[in-house]
Amino acid sequence: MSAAPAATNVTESTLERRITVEEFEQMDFEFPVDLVRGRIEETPPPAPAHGRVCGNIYFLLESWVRSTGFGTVTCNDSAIVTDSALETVRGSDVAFIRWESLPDRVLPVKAFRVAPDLVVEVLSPSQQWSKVEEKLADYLGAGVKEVWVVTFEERSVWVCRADNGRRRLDETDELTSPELLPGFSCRVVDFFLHV
Amino acid sequence: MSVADKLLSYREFEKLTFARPTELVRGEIVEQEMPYSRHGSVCAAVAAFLLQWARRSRIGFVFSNDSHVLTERDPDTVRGPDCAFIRADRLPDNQLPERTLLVPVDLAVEVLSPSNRWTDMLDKVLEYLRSGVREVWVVDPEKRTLDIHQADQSPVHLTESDTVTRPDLLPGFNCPMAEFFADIQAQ
Repeated sequence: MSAAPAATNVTESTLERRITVEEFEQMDFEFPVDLVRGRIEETPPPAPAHGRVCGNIYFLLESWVRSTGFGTVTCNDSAIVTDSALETVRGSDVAFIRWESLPDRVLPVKAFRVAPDLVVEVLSPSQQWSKVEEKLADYLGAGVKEVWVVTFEERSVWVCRADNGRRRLDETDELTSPELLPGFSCRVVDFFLHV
Repeated sequence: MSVADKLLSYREFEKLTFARPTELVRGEIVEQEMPYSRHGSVCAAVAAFLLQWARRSRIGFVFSNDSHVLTERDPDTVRGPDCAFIRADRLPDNQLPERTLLVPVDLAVEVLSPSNRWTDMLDKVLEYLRSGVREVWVVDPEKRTLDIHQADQSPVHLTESDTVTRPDLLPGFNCPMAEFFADIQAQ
């Protein structure tokens, strides 16, 4: 058997067929994993700089959320069901959701079934085209309004929206999203503080 | 002064010869990877289907093989798309130029190689769109996907079971995506 995920309760029979979202939610893993079209995809634990950038982004969004009260910010690969028919669950580096988008204005016990308003993905150095595009298509198709894709080498942020083309912002550029995050503003370089 | 010391214009670039495929990127020469056979097979298939359609429709011309296309001036950038289509009525005298194509193409197709990074390809896509190219296709031979990019629009992501139709850009063109990848492996 090839590439067994580091799961504690995955049997061979579950690996041979497509896994449903509900089954996926019952499983435990040692590594962060996504469920993609019914298959488990492992992600190796990220490098410290990756974690640091995620932390910076979380801090900036969380500071804005605490002063505005518009919603809630999650991090640490929080699970989002992007398509339950396609059996796909993605772990988001950082996400923001407005309270009014959440049923009962409370975070779900399991994976998000409603799309967060914003998802931030910090790319690994390999940044394989199809993997990034598939993830973007999943998020935007699920109703995420905006995805920020952050790349290390260029220190850039790509703003990707379902209703617009891609936009690249570099270190000194200001990042705002007036519709989605009223009043939020930072510079791209702020994402890379203390890296 | 050697060519490396100053930025080259597209006219100077035209006069140079290279052992490997190259592009001119903001005045500087950038060597390209020599492609592998899967890449070449997908380029050939996309070009074949586009050419078949173009000859039938008589709307314009299809070309392949990294032909020189100017995308930026001062400093100049000359790209070599894997495949491209341009309407005849955009071209002076309704014919392809002898040297660098100075008019933006209607469609540029880029087929991914294993070494392509997401950001690099996306930078290239946006450059084409800024230069006036109406549509850029990014084809992935491994995942068998096609991403269709247009200015100010979210790209359309197609997979192997989809059919490619572009009524506005390529009226009458109709090609099952699987055809692009049909020559990688015996059926």
